[in-house]
Amino acid sequence: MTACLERVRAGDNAAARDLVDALAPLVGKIVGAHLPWRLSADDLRQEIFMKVFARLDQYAGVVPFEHWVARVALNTCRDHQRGEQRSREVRWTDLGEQEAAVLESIAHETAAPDATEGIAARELAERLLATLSPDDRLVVTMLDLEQRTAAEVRELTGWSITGIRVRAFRARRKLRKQMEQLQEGPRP
Amino acid sequence: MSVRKPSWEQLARAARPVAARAEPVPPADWTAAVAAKAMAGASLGKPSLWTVVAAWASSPKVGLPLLALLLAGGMWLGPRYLGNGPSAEQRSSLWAEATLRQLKAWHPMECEEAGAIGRLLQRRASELTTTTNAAAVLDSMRDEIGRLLTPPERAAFESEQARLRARWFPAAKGMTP
Repeated sequence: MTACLERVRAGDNAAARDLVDALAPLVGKIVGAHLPWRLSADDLRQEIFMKVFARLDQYAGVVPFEHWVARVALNTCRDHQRGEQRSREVRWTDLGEQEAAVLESIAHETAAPDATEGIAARELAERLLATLSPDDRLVVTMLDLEQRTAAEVRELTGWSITGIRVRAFRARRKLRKQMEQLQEGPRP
Repeated sequence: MSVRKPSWEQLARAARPVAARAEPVPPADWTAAVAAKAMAGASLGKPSLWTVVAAWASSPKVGLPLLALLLAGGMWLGPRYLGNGPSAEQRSSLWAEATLRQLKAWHPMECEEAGAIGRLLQRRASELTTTTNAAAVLDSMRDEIGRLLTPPERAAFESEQARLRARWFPAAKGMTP
């Protein structure tokens, strides 16, 4: 990676392609997990790569290059999420048929959800996460959906472990409240 | 079979397989196009002016003196562009209030309505309350007030008046009541 970076800095286009190739899965995974509403994944991936290349001279080599890129990617996603209109709450009437069904089915804790249920569950989780602030959303997504450890979150965000845990605790409390309101609210 | 209400943790567990799914690898032409575009937009090898200035200013040897210079500049420029604190009218009132506090401290009885200073203040009360320059009115009352005081009190009163005048209308700044 270091050699590739040196070649990119020297203006080698082939090395730049290799770099994009090497980083595409990492950037794709982050974009997939933190894609703001109404934004194309391709556009966001492209924006992240533009930023990475434009700031390449700022990379001091203190942390692994992949971590630095991940941080740029996460910050870009967060910037877009900040610009989004946050929904205050999720109501039963906002849910699609499958989202409502998945909520019923996970309550019974029967078999593991199938692919369709998984997608519906993810969409519902996204709806609930959209009620949080971008920073809360980022922490809960990484801890609860991506199953990263607090240490990994610290490496990717630069935040302290205590700060991450406190943020996660508060965010989960808000999500639990949202879940309760959702289930207690009027149903069609 | 449990019929509890589903929790966030259960929902997150159900959503995880999708969350963990990797995005499809972009096609080679997309990669090439992004790489070319990014290279064209990158300032490789030549950091921008702002990067150079930020790195220079953030070093302790430069940053701290620069911060001190900015603070000193702000303290010098601030009063000139943001005003000198209270207006002339407010400073006049503050001077008048301080004078009355001083007189009341010396001669509480005299400052009451029936007292000599009280009667004098009542006589000039309308002037004092309607003027935009209470200090000027007080200035004109100084002789009258002085006559009501003993010589040592009068000297102390004059000295205190000079101090208050210098405080609220410093000659160095060319201020007059």
